[in-house]
This record gives sequence, C-alpha cells and structure tokens, in this order.
Amino acid sequence: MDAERLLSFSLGAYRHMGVSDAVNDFMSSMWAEVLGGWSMDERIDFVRRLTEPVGHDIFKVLEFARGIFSHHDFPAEVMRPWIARVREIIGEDMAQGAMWTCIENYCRKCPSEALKVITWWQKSDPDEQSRNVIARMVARLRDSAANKGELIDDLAAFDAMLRAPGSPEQRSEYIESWAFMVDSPLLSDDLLASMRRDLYVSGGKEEIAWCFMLSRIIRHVPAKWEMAHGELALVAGPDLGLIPKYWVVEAALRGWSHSTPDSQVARDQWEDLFFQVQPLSEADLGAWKSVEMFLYDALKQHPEAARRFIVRLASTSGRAWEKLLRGSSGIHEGLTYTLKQAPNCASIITALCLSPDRSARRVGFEWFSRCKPSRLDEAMVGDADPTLIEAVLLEAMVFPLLSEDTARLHGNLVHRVDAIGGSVEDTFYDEVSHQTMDTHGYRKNIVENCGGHERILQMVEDAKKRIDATDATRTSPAMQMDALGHQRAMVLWMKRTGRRMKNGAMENSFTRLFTNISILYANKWRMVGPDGSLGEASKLNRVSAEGEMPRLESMMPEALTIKRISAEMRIRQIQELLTPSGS
Amino acid sequence: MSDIRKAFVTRYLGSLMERSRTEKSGTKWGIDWVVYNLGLVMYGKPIRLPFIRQPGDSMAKSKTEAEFGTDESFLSADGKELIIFVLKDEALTYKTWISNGFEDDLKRATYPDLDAAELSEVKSVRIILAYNSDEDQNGLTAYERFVSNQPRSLRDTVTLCYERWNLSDLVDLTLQHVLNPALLPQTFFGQITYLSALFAELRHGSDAWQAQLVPGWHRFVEDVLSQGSGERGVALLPVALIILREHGSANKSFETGWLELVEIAALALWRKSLLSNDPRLQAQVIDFWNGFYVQELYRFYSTHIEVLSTENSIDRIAGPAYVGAVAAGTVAHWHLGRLGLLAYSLTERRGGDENGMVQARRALLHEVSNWTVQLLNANHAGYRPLLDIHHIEWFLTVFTLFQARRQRELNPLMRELVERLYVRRREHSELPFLDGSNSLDNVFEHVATMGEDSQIEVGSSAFVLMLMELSFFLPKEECTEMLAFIHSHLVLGAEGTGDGPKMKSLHLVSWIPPSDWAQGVLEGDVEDGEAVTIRPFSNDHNVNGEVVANGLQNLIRQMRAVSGFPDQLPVPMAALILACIRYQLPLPPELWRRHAFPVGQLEPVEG
Repeated sequence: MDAERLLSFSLGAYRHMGVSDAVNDFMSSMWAEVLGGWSMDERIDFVRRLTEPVGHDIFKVLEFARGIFSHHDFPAEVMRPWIARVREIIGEDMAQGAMWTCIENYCRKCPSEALKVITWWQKSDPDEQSRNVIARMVARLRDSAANKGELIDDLAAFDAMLRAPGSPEQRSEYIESWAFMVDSPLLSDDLLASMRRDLYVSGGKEEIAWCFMLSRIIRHVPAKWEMAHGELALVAGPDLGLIPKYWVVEAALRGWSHSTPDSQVARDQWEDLFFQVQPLSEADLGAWKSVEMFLYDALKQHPEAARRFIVRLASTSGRAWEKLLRGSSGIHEGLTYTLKQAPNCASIITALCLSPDRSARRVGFEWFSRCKPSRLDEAMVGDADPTLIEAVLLEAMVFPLLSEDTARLHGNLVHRVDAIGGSVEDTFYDEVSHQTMDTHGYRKNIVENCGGHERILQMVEDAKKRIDATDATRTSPAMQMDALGHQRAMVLWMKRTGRRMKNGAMENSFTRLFTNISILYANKWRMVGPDGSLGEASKLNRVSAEGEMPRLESMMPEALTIKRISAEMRIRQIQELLTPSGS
Repeated sequence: MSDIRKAFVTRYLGSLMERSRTEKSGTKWGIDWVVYNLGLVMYGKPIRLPFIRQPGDSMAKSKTEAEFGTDESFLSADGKELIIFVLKDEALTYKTWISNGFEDDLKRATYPDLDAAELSEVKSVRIILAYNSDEDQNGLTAYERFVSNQPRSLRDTVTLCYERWNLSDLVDLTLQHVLNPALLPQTFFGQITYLSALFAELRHGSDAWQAQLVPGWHRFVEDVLSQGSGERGVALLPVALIILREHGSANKSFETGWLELVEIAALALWRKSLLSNDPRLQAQVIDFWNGFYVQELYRFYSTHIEVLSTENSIDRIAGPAYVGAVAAGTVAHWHLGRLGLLAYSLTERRGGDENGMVQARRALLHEVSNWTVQLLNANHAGYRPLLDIHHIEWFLTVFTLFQARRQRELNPLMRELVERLYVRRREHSELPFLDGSNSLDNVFEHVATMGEDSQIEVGSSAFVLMLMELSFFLPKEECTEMLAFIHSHLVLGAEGTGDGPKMKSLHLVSWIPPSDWAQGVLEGDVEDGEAVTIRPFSNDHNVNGEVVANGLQNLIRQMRAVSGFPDQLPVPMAALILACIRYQLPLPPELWRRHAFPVGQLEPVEG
C-alpha cells in the first residue's frame, strides 16, 4: 500500500467503523505497522502528506498518527516544519489532544532530534504559540532525560539560555515548561522558590506563566496546595492582568470544589482567593466560563455555600455579570437550567434581588427572568427593609424585565408593600396601574401571582375597560386620518427591523455553529453530499418566535423616559442610604 | 350639517341667473341647469331645453329662438303628462309680475303646442313657475288671481294645472333630488365627479390623497373662482363641498379630510376677497368662514370630542413603533391647531353685546378650551410637537387657555411640554428634537432609520423662543421660574443642577414679518421678512429667570423699534393663522407679544 492509498483509505475509517477511541487506537497501530514496511524516505513523504488534508480531516489524521511517532524515527529537519505547521492548523481549537500526543511521542522516541527541533526553533524568534510548543517539548524532554540519563547537559544549557535575564518571553517559556511537569520530583520547592525569586515579574509575561504553573499545581498536586495558594494569594489582586487573573480564578474555583475538611487549604480560603481578583470585567470571558463550570457542580454539591458565593460574586462583579448575561456571548446560558434545578433557587434569586448592592439586584433580576421561580423567598421579602423594597420596585421600572416577570415580581411583593404603605405603596400601585395598561402578559401574570389580591384584581379589570374604551375609538371617523409619510416610514422601519432581527438571529451563539446557506427557491430541499450523491428531499421547517410589544412604549415614550429618569434618580438617592459608597 | 346644507344651497341657488351664459365678465350660471336636472330626476324626458348640449363643450349654449313662455318642458315616462317650466331669477312681486314678464310668460306657456307627435298621449299639462327668490303678498295675489282665471283644461281632454316653486321649494327639492355633481354647472361636472370618486376612496393624509385629491381640489377651486363671475363662484364652493361630503361619507376618513378641503377653499376665498372690491363677495366670504368653516369645526369637535378625549385615542395610532409615535404627534397637532383656530375665531368676533352674544361667545370659548385640555389630558401625543412650525399649534393652545382665563393651568401645561421636549433634546433619544427644517418626511425617516444619515435640523428653534415669551402669560414668579427652566433644559440642554449631560446650546430664532405679510401668507409665499438670531441669554445652567426675562424684554423692545405690526388686517387673523398652518409659515411674534408684552407696559427702546 502506498502513502496516497493509505491516506485515502484511512480518511474513510470513521465512515466504515464509526468514531471511537478503539478505532483511533486500531488505526494508529495499523499506520505504525504499515510504515514499518516502508523506507525512511517513504515514511517522511507520508508524514509530510499528513498536513495536507483540509478541514476537520486534520484531527482524524493526527489521531491515527500517534503510533507512528512512538514507533519510528524522524529527523529534526523534517519535524521542525511539520510541528510548526500542525500547530498552526490546529490553532485555538479545543481538540488539541492528538497533536500533543504526537509531539510528546516524538520527544520520547527521538529526544536528541527533538532537542535539535526546539534549539533551532528557539533561535528563530518563535511566536507565542510556538513558545508554548517548545515549553511542552522541553518538559517532555526533561522527563525523558531524567529517566534515561541522556541529554542532561544539553538540556541544562537550554534551560540556562531560557532563564538568562533579558527576555521575558524566554523566562516565561521556562516557567511554563515546568508547568507541564508539576507532578515531577524535578520541580522541587527550591526550584519553585528560585523561580519566584529570580524569574517572576509582576505584570510581566513571567506572571502569566507563574500563575499558570501554580494553577496546574493546584489541579494536579494537592500536596502542594498550601504553597501554591500562598503564592497565588501574594500575586492576586483586582488589577491582575486578564490571563493571570483567569489562572487565579481557575485555581481558586478548583480548590473550592475539591477541598475537603482535611485539605491543606479550606474552602473559605479558596473563596477569599477568588474574591481577591474581583471585580471581573466583561473581558474576563475565560474566568466567567470557569465560574459557570464551577457553579454547575457547586449548586448541586454545596447549594448553601454556592448561594453565598453567587451573592458575593454579584455584589463584587455584578455590573459585568449582568452585561454578559444580557449580551450575545451566550455565557451562562447553560447555568440557567442548573440554577432552576437547585433546591435553593428561589432563595438565591431573592437574596440577589434584595441585595443592597445595585449590581447584585440587577443580576438577580436577570436570573429571576431566566429561571422564573414562581415565588420569591417569603421570609426574606417579609424581612426586607422598606427602602430596599422601594429600590427593588424602582429597579424593575428601569430594568428591561419582560412584563410577565414584572408581574411575578409585583405579585411576590404586593403584601409586603401593603404592609409598608406610604410612598412605597403609591409607587407600587402607580406602576401596577401603568403595567396593567401596558401588556396582556402583565395582566395575565399579575392575576395569577397576586394570590387573589382584591385591589390588584380590580385594577386589572379597570385597565381592561380603559383599553376597550381606547380600542373602541378605532372606528370613529375622527380617528381615520393618517400623517403624510407615515406609511412610507413604516415600510422603511419594517425593512430595517426585519434586517436587524435576521442579523440578530444569525449572531445567536447557537446558530453561529452552523453553516448558513440561503435557499433561493422552493420550499423543499435536497443536498448534494461530499461523495456527489443527491440526498433525499426534506421539508423546510419554519422557526419563529413571538412576543408582545408593550403598547405604551411607543404611545408615550417621553413620559416613560421621564419616569425612568425619576426612578433612576431616586435609586441613586436610595443607594446612598443603602451603601454609602453609592455602588 | 343639515343647517349649513340648506343655508349654502339656498345661497347658491339664489345667486344663479335665469339662464346660464358666458359673458365678458365671466360665466353666469343659471337656474335653468338646476331645474333641468330636477326635471330629469322628477319627470323624465326633456322636451324643450333653453340650451343646446354638445359633446366636448364645457357649457351648453343658450338658444336664441322664441320660447313662447316655456323655458323647459318634460314629458312623463308614460307620455301622459307634460311639465312646463317658466323660470325667473327675480322675486315675485307685483312690480316684477308685470315688468319682468311673469304674467306674460305664464300666459304664453298656458297654450303649449300639443300637436307634436311625441305629445299625442298627453292628458295633462302642469305649468311650474320656478324662481330662485322669494315673493311678497301682492306678487302672490297677482299669481293666484292669474291661475284662478285660467281654463282648467285644454282642448277639453287635457287637464291644466299650475304650480309655483320659490327659492325654498327649489332648495328642498334640490336637497332631496340633486345633491350630486349634476347640480353644479356642466363645466364642473367632470371635475367634481372625479374629485367625489377620489374623496370617497382615498384616506385622508395618505400619499395618494396628497398627490391626487389635494392638487385636483386646488385646481377645481381656482377654476370655480376664476370662471364664476361675482359672488356666484363664492356661492358654488360650499355647495361643491357639500356634494363631496354627501358622496364621500362612505370613506372612513371623510370627516377630517373634508375639513381639510374646506380649509383649502376658505383660503382661496380669502385670497379672492382680498383682491375684490365687491362688498357682497366679501360678505359672502366672511359668511363662509364663520358660517361654514368655523361652524363645521365646531360641529366636528362637538360630535367627536368624546372620542378624541378618550384615553390614548390618538396615542393608539402609534402602534408598535416610534414611527407611529411621530404619526400620533402629527395627528394630535392637527387637532390642537383646529381647536385653536376655533377658539381664536371666537375671540375675533365682535359686536352683539346687547343680545348677550359676548357671554355666549365666552361660554363657547370656555367649551373649546375644555376640549383642548381634554384632548391633551387623554393623549401624550399632544405634548409631542415634532416640527419647529408646530409653534403655531402651541401658540393657539396656550392662547386659548389664556383667553379663556385659565392661566392657572398654563404653568403645568408648559412644564409638561418642556420636560418632554427635554427628553428629546438629549442624545440617543428615540424621538428627535423639533425639526427646524419643518420636514415631517425627514422626521419620519430619522425615526425609521434610527437616526442614520439624519437630515433633521435641531440647532435652531423659534418654537423655544416663543415658549419663553409665552411664559409671560404666567404670574411673575412662575414666569421667571419657567424661563429659567426652559433656558436650562431646552436652550442649554442640561438640567438645572449643572451636572447634566453636555449638549450644544440652541440658537434661538425670531423673525420680523414683511409689511405685506397678510397678502403673502394667503398666497403661501412670505419670502421677505428678517430672521433674528439670539444667543443663549446665559451659559449658566442655574441662571436666574430674571436675567432671561430682561434679555427677552430687551430683545422685544429692539425688534419693535425696527418693525411694526398692524392692529387691523383685512382678513381675520384666524384665517391668516390657518394659512400659516397649511403653508408652514411662522407666526408673527407680535401675535403673542402684544398680549404678553403690552406696548404700554414695555418701555420702548431709548434713542
């Protein structure tokens, strides 16, 4: 079998045998076996061809190539460009495992050639991505050298070159290389101390590598938690750079999740470390993703502690959290389900909504809207300070809650508001009056959530009558005139709105996963597959969404803006009372 | 409506000659055409006509042959009755009975030629004396004596009878049978028929309305006034309007649309009046203005105010988009303008004091001011002026309350307006501030495209300056407070606390109208005049209202020193204001200044 046939045959492996680790292992062994029968030139030719496949085939190829690098030798002059090319193709894709296995297998099988690869590469002023590869290869070579007693002097010289003053990139590369061997006995306390002393630079590239390494220690070496926690606590602060902050967050949340009563570092200490780097910004997407993953487990395993954590996080980083929740990043979408399932969901959301911190309240509103708990925690609502209740009511006026959610919120607060009375009561019923006139959704939901509250029910009935009276004017001859240009403007507006909605749908994190093809004609479609065959005809499915437009929003935009400005000003006054710093 | 129908159809029929004919001074329309159409509807086949109808001619030609007393005659459908009309355009008096040939013509008509083959089945002859005027007792006696002395039959087998239609009878029969395009002179039949069809079909305010009906109506009005001699054209227009209304009532938007057509006619009539020395014509125009337009405005609002003052009735137009909010604002200001005109026209009427008319007008003014307040209370769109030229509607609104002695309500009203305008003065507002280029199209486009490539002009405002000057209608303390409020919010664009957002300050604009303003405004063409631009009176966000008040008074003193505005104008001011609304021309500031800054109380500028 020649190289071309082997490659084309192998690309069809998943189609014939399915996708599984066993298939990968089988193909990997088979490739190693087949290449055993070839000359060196044929093997090199084959390896070079491996970077040719396009698209997702590269992942397949690398899975199958693992075996050839652990069984056959390849010279450095072949592998240096090959590794660089593969790294370039894989880029930031999450599926990097096969690539690293290939490279590590090569380091183990041909350490001296691999050393040549990194030596040459290092001299060519490598970029960030290449340094990352070199660091991993150095780590692997150190392991091999330690086991086989080979290349020790050469590697020591290479390390010395990396550690030398003058190049933050090389020094961070050195620290990073140790991050890939945190469980190695070679990484002694003395070495760590020397790195901290001699290499760490606050705010520099070395800091990134340092936090990365400590994070890996926390992940892989619980016995060194105390040291790693202590070191991270020394560097952690709100102004920490984006990437080191991510590693601190990652480490702290890992520690929090895996700490036990016997752990070297207690959960509270991990939590403190996490909050040392607050506030998180919108740009800290990686950190927020880690928070999401962490909360999946924490809400199930430690619901009460998770509640405290969420409230604290919302108070410190609420502004960014709210923006991310409302943005199109898609972050925390999965968390909604987990939070909904949490036994203390209502309690968490109530605590957020009733937080004296404004950002936390707004995060609470966002979760209240997403998780839709039928009731808030009655005891917490009952105990809430009147000023806080007023703040919640005002916040609901300026926060873009759906009318159904506003209705649920009002339904949960009505009895507390009645008990408070005075201006809070006036504010509340003014808003109820407005909302009952605004949407059907509000009227329906307030009736369902007010527990038969007579005054509310009466207001809903009154609103219906008022709306009916307005609607009855529709047919009056006095109401038939149009404003010149109105219809033309409506057409223009609808065109633009339709375009924006279409673009919005395309930007959705879910739909972005798919290739978008405009089907120009017909209402059924067939697809021509990769093998050129025409597929079966299938119907097109229509996906649509609908929502109720608040009727007063365009009827009285100025009055609503004035109302919101007034609410905003009052919230600021209240905020001064609740949190004198005025968050 | 029935009242104006009768009154204006009476006036029209009363203005007609006996026969239609074209003369050097213009076309004279005759009662013959009306009776011809009545005869067609009531009796059937015409036998004799006083004119020759020819295809392609806009007017039938008068016959010059001997008529033997018979102006027109018709034969009933069964051929058994002959109806003979004797037409006169004079009153039936003893004098005219003789001198204007009533008796002679009736005598000749009494002996018709029944030998024609088509009259062979005739069993009765009815002779109708029709005159588009009234009669006195002697005239009536002469007629009755004449009739009683006539034979009861002709050739023994044909019965003979007489009828008499005076103006009232003609009006009643016209209203009953021919209130349609056929009533108008033949030359306008095609035009009015086309306009009736458009009026019945098009929605008021739509593009098609504006592009087809409005120009067509303008042309019709000009044609009528240029072709009809003397007051006949003036008398014809209301009848044309009544006909349109009769035929357009199936159109849902006919009510407001019709008022707009009335306004176009009214302005054309005032133009005609201004150029004419004929006191009868001028009296008829005044009559049209008061008895038709103002009367119809009153009827419209008394009929529909309940709807217009229903909560959100106009706001409802907004629908789901801010584009609709612009439409609602436009409609609301249309109504505010008309209510204001109605009120203004009441304040302009003079005389009748001895009959309690002053009191009655005051009561009416109060009623109209109530309607204005009701509309504003019910509709947010009323507080949404969109164009700088909407200062006219707001002047009228404030002036209505001022004249109705409701100054106490002015402060909250103006404050509400300023607050809402301030919201739109801020950046990123969905609705733009007042468009100084006065283009509703631009405003719609701005809102529909969310401000992309906006063409609106929001850097200068006459509206805001007028609001500041109207503040002087308030008691002194409220006035200075309001001035400071407007100056900080609208002129400087920031709240009084000084920590508001930074905005470019407005340029305030006033103007001095030309001396021939009244003539120009009726033509829709006031290109002369001088613009006056005024910088903010202070850059201090916390400016004392007194400073602004002094600045304004100084400005007005200086403007008065270089210009004057006549106390008396040849046309009611309400009509000129209507022209300003329709042609988007600014109001002369003296309209409010003479009340807010009476000449005697505001020292003239020295030197």
